[in-house]
Amino acid sequence: MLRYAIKRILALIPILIVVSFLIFFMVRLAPGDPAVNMVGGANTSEEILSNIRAKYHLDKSIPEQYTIWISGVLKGDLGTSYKMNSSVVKLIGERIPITIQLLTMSVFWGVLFSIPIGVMSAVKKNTIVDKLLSVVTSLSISSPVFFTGMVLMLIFAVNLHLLPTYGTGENILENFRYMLLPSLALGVNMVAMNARTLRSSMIQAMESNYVQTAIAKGVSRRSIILKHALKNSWIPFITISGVQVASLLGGTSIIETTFSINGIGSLLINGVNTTDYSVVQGLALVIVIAILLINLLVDIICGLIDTRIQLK
Amino acid sequence: MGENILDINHLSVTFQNEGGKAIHAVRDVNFALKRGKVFGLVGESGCGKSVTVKTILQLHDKKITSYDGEITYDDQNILNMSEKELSKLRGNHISMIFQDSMTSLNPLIKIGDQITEVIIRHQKLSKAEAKKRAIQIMADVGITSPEMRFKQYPHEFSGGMQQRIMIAIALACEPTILLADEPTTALDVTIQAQILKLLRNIKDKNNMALLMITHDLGVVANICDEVAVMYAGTIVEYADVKTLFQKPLHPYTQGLLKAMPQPGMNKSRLEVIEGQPPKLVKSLANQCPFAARCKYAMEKCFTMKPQEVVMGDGHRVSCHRVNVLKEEV
Repeated sequence: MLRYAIKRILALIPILIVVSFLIFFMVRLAPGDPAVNMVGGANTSEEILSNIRAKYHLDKSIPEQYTIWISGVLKGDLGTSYKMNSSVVKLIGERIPITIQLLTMSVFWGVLFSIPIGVMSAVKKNTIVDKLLSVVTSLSISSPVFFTGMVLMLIFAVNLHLLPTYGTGENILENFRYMLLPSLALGVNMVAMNARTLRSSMIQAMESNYVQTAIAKGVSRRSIILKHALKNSWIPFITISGVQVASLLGGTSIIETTFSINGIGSLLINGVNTTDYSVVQGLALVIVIAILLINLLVDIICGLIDTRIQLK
Repeated sequence: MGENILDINHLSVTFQNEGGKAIHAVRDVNFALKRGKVFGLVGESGCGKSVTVKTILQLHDKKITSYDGEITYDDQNILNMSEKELSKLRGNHISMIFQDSMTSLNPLIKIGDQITEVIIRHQKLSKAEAKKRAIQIMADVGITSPEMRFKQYPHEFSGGMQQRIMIAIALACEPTILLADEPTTALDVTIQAQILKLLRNIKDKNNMALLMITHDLGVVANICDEVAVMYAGTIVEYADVKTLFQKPLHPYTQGLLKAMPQPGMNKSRLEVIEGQPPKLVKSLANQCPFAARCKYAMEKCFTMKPQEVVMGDGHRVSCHRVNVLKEEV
């Protein structure tokens, strides 16, 4: 297992190098002059602008800028925000806990709802139950995250006064209340795909020879579903969950804006709007690393469930 | 002759396919299993062998299957049993082993747990006792170092070893009947011989009835006491194994035997039975199912179903030419 994990981690290094290039150059393709944005006006004198450019190395060639940036990154320094005049590492560090909490809660809801729905619709396949569940999950995926968020906000916060409308609390515990609605909105979006994946792999498992063997052994139906079939359905489910978490990371920008949460999603949106290169670069790198780590985790979990995977 | 422990009377199995058409997979089949005896069911693919045997354990999808006739075990008709009664029967009184051991074992559950599962289910044993029993059975079916193997997954076993595990699972609760659906088809010849020997020994030791599905007449000759030849869902001939090989009566049985290579045979090609078996959606109530491929077929064969004729020695055959055939032999 350890060897397998190390092998997977080493494979991430070349990916990270390529990604760092892409991030750096693509950020610079975005329209807008950061120096102009920084001082906030088109009428600023050339002298001030060139001073700013010199300060942030914007006057150097792009390969030179990259070298400066990447050597900082390797030392754990992601640069300074032009706009907020603060270290990017500090900015991300302040805002990442709430986003992690939001994401974790979203994944929790997504998984919590999709497992029973997937299992139920597989066991009752092609019946009215299956079709009803299919309609419900289709609705959940068709509704955009911000819309689901607003509907939840309207029902539970504005009308029923059960939960805070928007914002964040003072600490993690308080944040559970604040994150409930946004995480539900994000998590529900993930249910459809996960439940569908689980349904189809469960159906396949229920028709397999080993389930036939289990029936011939006299094993109870409950145990056939929950032990024999479900165990063989985890791998596609976990894999798709990993992919879904990556797309949820994108969803956080939207939901953090909807619910006024100061997480990294809203930081990214601000950074892009103000051509704040170092913020966007730094965040993009953090997000890519997060996605790679999630994939790594998925690989390791799958390897633990099915030891044959480690051999490949 | 041993006592009958399972009686199949006028069994018919019909499936409803997706287009709503009825598929008559098994038509009016009769036979019995006896303690300490091996009953062979032979025939080509799609003739209803597996369907018949899976019916004994009710392994078909209830929604699309309808049955007729009865399967009597212990004075009860299995076809009328509730799901609860069936689950007490399966793996306990009647066990089954399947053709493809690789896919018939759950790939993600350790071998040991797959064996203890059936023991814990049917016998009120603790986990530790079940483990002891499982290791004992693993040793009985010829698994070396069973304690170590107990903790392994199916993919760490060879095909022959996997089939031994299937046998161990089937035998764990000492059933009275073992159903074996082509247990040696996926194995090479040496392993096949070992598995057959193992099955024969266990059958003698436990005095069980063994029902063996195969399309390999070599296997039949090796292990069976009685044989039924199936064709298009019906049994066309039934005899003890010696009679069947020496005096086959039905033209289909004769064709099967001729298609089998013999030692010292000096032919470049084996004989074949021309044509294809009939479609099972067809009603074959008014004809001999084999008529279209039979080289002796007469007009009568296409308009009337032959009655089963029982001869003095228990040899049964369904053919209009039975009187001619008897004289020929």
